[in-house]
Amino acid sequence: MSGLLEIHNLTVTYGSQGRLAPAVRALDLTVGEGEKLAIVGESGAGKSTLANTIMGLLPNSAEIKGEIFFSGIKISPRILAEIRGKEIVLIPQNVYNSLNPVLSIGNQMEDLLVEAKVPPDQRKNTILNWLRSVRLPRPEAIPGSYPHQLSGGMKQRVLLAMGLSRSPSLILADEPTKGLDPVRRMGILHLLKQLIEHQRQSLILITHDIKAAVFLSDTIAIMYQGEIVEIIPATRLYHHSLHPYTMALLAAAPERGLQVPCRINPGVSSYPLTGCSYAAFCNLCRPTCLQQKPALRKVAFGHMVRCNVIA
Amino acid sequence: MGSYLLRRLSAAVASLAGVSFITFLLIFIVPGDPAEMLAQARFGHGVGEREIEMIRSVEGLDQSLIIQYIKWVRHLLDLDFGYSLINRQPVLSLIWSRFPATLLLACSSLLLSLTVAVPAGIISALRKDTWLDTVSRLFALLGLSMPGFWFSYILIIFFALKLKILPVSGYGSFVNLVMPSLALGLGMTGLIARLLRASLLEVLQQDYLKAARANGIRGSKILFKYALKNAMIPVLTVVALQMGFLLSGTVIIESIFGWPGLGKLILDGILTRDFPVVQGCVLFTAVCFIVINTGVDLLYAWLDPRIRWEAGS
Repeated sequence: MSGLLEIHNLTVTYGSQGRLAPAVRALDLTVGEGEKLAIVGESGAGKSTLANTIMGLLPNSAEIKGEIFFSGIKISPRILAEIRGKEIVLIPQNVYNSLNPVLSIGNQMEDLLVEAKVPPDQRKNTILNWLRSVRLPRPEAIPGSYPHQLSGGMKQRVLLAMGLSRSPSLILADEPTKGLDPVRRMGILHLLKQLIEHQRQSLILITHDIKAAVFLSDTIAIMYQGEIVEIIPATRLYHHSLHPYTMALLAAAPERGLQVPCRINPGVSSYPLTGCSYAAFCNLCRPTCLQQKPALRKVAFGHMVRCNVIA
Repeated sequence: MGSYLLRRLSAAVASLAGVSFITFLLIFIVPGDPAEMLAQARFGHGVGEREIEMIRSVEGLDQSLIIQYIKWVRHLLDLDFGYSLINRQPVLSLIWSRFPATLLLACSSLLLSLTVAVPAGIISALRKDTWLDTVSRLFALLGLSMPGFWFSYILIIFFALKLKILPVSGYGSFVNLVMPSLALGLGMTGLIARLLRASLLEVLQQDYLKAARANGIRGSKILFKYALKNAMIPVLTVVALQMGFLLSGTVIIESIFGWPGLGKLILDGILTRDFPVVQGCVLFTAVCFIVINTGVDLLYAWLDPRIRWEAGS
């Protein structure tokens, strides 16, 4: 299957000489045109590392192996510099610190227009149109404001306007509702959904909010310790997921009683070097799981699971 | 912004009042009877009790401290800083005659250190942990740890005595300015370079920089517009403090190079117990500090809109 974004055998390691465990391990992923994929997992699963790798925003200390193709072209730092902000955009996760505090909103938005070579006389109107598209109240007052004068929800709308304004083919939204209260969170999710569907863009949503993932995406990839352990259509997640980690993740949601999984197999390392990475917590664990690394296998149409016992 | 300005200016006036009182007390803090010192300066050594008492009465030294202070401030407001005990010249004209030399030296050493320190700090931060960073940090450390007076003598030995391309001391031409500027600028260069490196490294980690890069902002714009402006805020404080020190005259460097600045005037004043000169110089220095710091406060508000906002709220 060829897609807009293809990731082959991607491994990302922080620290020198591989002393630390990889944040992303031998990951393969394809996102088709117009596809909406959510990557769900707990903190430290490697979700944001994956997003930053795609955007080329990792620190120099990160070691990257594997290949990423965008529209069939292998991504290199030079190509990324060309397409970043135009073809691929990132909606950052830290709403409160993702706008430069010493520059006005208008100034920061205008810089994007300068990069996009928009003539100076059209910039003011374009900025206002962007702000209107994300339904900010009194958009004409926003360009002269500084980030500290806006609420979290307003900042996120500005960031959405900045990200989506240039009609990118692929949007990477890294926890776009982090730090927002439930009312604002739903507002942002609805807005994001409408904007993306309107322009038929591809989306990679990175989140640990399962409800947001089901709401916004067609497909959900569950990530654990740098690996994708299950890929499942969003509509099937609640009732047809198979991987023990996915089940545990669903059970840990607040509406299901916050059941946090505890270590079931005490002799097994939480970060095993061989075998299944979830073995220590898995209620299905067999002796083979400690030796054999499970592969991601197809169990139904659009549904894949990485488990020696199930698939 | 208006209230911020008003608050900064009233803080400056309050500081000035405090400083002027402490400076006024200087004459009473130094050992000995002020009236006797004045009498000795006027009539020579071995003055009698009658002359001392006469001076005490004429100069108002027998009045209460507060009355004396009010009188002194009234003179100050008329720009009357008193007269030198040694050469009887007005203190203010002495200060004005020395200030251009100090200002010239301060500006040239500050310019020199900024010219070196800002690029060094930027390169160091951008090329962290490379040989460029190591070299830059090593020089910064060297600059910070080397005493100015020692470096002055190294410069004199090398440029004046060995190579014979610069004069040992003096004032009046560009060649005279080189060595004192280098000697004064060295420590400051190290300090500013290190501080800018640390500050820039912190800013480079911020999410707004990552977001700007993700939005396609590139190269020099990221550095100069999105990072450097934020990173310069703490550096500015240090530059302002350094400028204050420089404007108050650098006693040791000016003495070594025979530079006729304020530092040398203060030193001569102290050595000859010419306390009106010392008092005038100390007050002048304090005013310089206060003016520069108030200027920097206003500059902060221009650089960082959050300060303007906090002040307005």
